Amino acid sequence: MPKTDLLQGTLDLLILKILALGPNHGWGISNRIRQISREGLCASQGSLYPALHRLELRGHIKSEMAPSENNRRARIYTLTTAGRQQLETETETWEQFALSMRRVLRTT
Amino acid sequence: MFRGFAARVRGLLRRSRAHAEADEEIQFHLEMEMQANIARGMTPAEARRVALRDLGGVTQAREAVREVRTLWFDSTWQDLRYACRSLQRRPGVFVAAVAMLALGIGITTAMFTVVDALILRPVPFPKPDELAFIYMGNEHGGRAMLLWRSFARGNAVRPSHVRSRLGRIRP
Repeated sequence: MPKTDLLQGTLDLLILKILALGPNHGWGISNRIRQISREGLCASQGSLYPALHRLELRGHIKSEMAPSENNRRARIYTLTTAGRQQLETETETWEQFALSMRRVLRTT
Repeated sequence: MFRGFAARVRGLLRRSRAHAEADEEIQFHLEMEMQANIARGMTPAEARRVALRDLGGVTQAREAVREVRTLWFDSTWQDLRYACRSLQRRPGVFVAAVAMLALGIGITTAMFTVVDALILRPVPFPKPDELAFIYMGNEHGGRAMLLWRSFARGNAVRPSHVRSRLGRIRP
């Protein structure tokens, strides 16, 4: 399955969407993206944590340490209200973008 | 924006704990990924290698996680230390900078002191407006400084008037 490279802004959007489904930790987010996209999208894990860091600085997500699997503590991220709004606006922008691209690419 | 700032303030106060948590987060991620790799059929050694490779730089990830929880003080402090080290390596730059600063400050201070003493401070006499400049005049309109001795003894020609600098005329 070909893997597409993710641009910075799109990774942020994906993270917000995954967290809208429920709070999760870094690895969980990465795994979910892979699962749901049926291996179509594979977030480079190296860019995952910087992306999470950016989102937290902007106030779109918040985090706290909590016990989880493996008898280890993990940092669980949650979507904030601001993040929820951001998700909506960005999803709409993205869909507009995708529609425009499709129109141009499918023109004969 | 403020949420980010609050996280940073907390980070400064509990810096070592923040660093430990950042490490823990990365460790957790690696362990989960290794488990998933083993489930995909890799050997434990391979699983670990692939997990590390996929993370794409443990140091970078760790720094990214740490960074959100430290205050800008931290990076300023680090910059300061770097500046000190590079000054130590190039003493010439340091000496030149200090010399120029010293020269500039010294000249400015000296100038100000002079101006301050001469012009800005009030004259230290009780009745400054009765101060008079006394000099001898002759028929041709020249002026000469008066010798105090001759004035005090009254030997000098008694001037008809004494004109003070400020225009007050006293007999």
